[in-house]
Formats: sequence, C-alpha cells, structure tokens
Amino acid sequence: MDESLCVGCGNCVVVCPVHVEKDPKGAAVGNGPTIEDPILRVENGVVKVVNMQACRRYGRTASSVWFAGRTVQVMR
Amino acid sequence: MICPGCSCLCDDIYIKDGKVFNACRRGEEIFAKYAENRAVAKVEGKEVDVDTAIEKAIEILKDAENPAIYGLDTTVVEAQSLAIEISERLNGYIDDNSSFCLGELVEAVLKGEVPTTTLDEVRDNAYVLVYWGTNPYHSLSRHMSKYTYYPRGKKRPRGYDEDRYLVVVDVRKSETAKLAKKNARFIQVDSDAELVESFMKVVEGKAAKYAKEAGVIINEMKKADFNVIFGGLGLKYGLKDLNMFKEMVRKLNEIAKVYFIPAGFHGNMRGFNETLFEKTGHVNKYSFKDGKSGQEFAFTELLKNEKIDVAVIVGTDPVYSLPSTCHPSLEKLRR
Repeated sequence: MDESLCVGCGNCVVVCPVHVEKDPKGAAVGNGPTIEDPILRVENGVVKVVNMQACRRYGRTASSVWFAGRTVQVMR
Repeated sequence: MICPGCSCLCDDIYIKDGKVFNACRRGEEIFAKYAENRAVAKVEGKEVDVDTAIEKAIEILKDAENPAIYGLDTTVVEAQSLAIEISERLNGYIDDNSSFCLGELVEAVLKGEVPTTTLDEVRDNAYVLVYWGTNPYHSLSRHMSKYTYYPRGKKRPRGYDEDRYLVVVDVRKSETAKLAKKNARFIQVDSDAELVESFMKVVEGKAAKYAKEAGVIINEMKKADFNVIFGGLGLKYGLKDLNMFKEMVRKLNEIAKVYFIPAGFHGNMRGFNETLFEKTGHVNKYSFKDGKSGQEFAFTELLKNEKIDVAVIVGTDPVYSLPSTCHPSLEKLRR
C-alpha cells in the first residue's frame, strides 16, 4: 500500500467483501468500520492494513488459500 | 464528530489514542492541526482580546457607509442568519463564495427548476450516477464511498459493479474517470454544450455528436426509477448558458427519473444559499440597500469597482481565492 498516493477516500474500505459481510451497518453502507478487527481502515487520513489475516485473497497465503468457499492448506 | 472539511460533512469521525479515524487526508488535517496557525484578534496590528476587537468592529461598522459581509460558507447556519440580519440592519451588501461557484445551480434547485434529492436517498436508491465537471477524488474525497457509487443501499444491495452505473464527464481523464470501468462510461468532452445538446436530441430521437454515448446512458437511466447528476465547477464554467442544462434535465425527466445535486465544495455553502433565499428569494450577491440581487453586487465586483468602505470577511481568505484584480481594493480596505 503506497500511503503517499492515498487521499483517504475509503473506497477500498467500503468495497471490501469481508467488511460488507461482517459490518453491514458500518463499512457496507459507506461509513468507517464499526467492527473491532477490520482488514483496512483510514487512520490519520490514509488507509492502513490492520488485519491482513482476514483477507480472503491475501490473508492466508502464508499457509493456506481460500478455495471453493473453504480454506485449503498449501503443501510446500 | 462531523468533519467540516468539505460538503460531504462525514459524521463518522472519531479520535482515539491520538489518531483520527475515518477522515480523509484533508479532514484529518482539520482535526490534527486544529491548534496550529490559529487567528488572533488584532486591532490596528496589535493583539487584543476578542471582546475589544468586537467592540472595535462594531464601531467601524456603525460608521460604514457601504459595508459588505462576505464568506460564511464554512460557518454554521446560525452564524449565517446573524450575518444576514446584520447586513440588513446596516443596509449593506452580502455575498458568499457561491457567486463564482455553484450559486446559480443551487438557485435552480431551490426554485424547483430541476428536481433534487439528498445524498442519503442517493445511497439507498440511485442507479445511474453522473459526475459532470467534478473530480471528487480531490474535492469531495469520500463522496463516492460514503454516498454514491460504492456503498450498499436499501434498493441497491449488490455492490457497485452490479447495482450502480457510473458516468464521468470531464475534459480530461481525471482520477474519478479512471474508476469508470465495468458498468460505467467516461465521456471526454471538448464542449459541455455539445453533450447537453446531444442528450436533448437523443431524447427527441435525432442525431447528435455524442448520440452513441448519450443513447447508452439514457437506456441505463430508463432501467431505474432513480438516477442522479452531480454537477461541479467544470459544468458551471463549461457552459455559457446554464438554462440549456436545466432544460436537458427537464427533458430527461420526460423519459426517466433524473435528479440533480450541485457538487459544491464548501461545507455549508448550501446553508448560506438557503438561508438568504428564504429571506430574500435570492441565494447570493444581495444588496439590502437596493433590495435586489445582481452581478454588480458580487463581492469581486464590489471590490473591483471600489463600491465598499468596510468588509467583514468570515471564514474565507479572499487573497487566496479571489482574482488578483481584487487585491488592490482589499489592500485599500485594510488601511
């Protein structure tokens, strides 16, 4: 995330599908996250990744991936 | 807290452990640097307490022959009402930034010449969203995430790529225009008037320069019962005659429901416009002495023509925002 380019619009916070599912009255409807453990939030005017583990695409790649609706362990 | 940084007026800002949450880059500066560069009360260059400065201001205003009050778009409605009352008592002039911003379009909205709506309604219902001559990435950073394109709404629960249709009209490919990908259109115009004309001709079934683009957008508009056009300064200065734009909105409403919202920047410009409109029937550049509004009463014109002897400037910096042709008059007033 290049914070120098970020204006803090919050577009990414609002479109994040995990936020939409977990925070239907917060980020899903355009507000800042109201849940304790959002993936992204805007802090001091720029976006910060605060909980990458919850991301369906990038969060589990260290040991597993999200595939066909479930977590699959990656063989190394 | 509500952020007064722009007309988005985001109401979900909070401060915790010294950090500002949810505010955009501009909004964050307002909270984080609240205590920096605060104005101090001064009389003839010497620092005084606020009460002394107010007493002196009253004295100056009482002696004024042609006073003007200018600014007010970053203040609350109560302060705006008081300023209008003072201007009336002084038989003076009153104006705000909207006289060179979107005042004319706000007036059309207040007079009911074009249908309008609220941002909450837009979030819950709007399908086609047209950003015309405005780049909210810079001017209204959270506009698209909080109210228009990205949030899920009551009647738009499926997200931006299915339940919204974005249209960006601009003379260059702005940051906002780059977001117009799936279910979206970017129209790079040479002339706003030609696009307005194209929309009207397509409604009438005639050929036009931007007929293809206008046709696609009109077809999308017909799919929903709620579409909205946000007009910015690019629209205002791109068109010599805003009446043709109003006519276009009326024509579009013959075949689809289309609302218009001026995408102004100042946090409470609309508040000033509405407050003055309720009192006088005009939104800006008003002379209580003459009992009418006119271009000659715009603060810029009053300065250029040296019509005023005292100026009360509230919450704005005319040296920064007005053309340099106004600066000599401001310098004379300062003396």
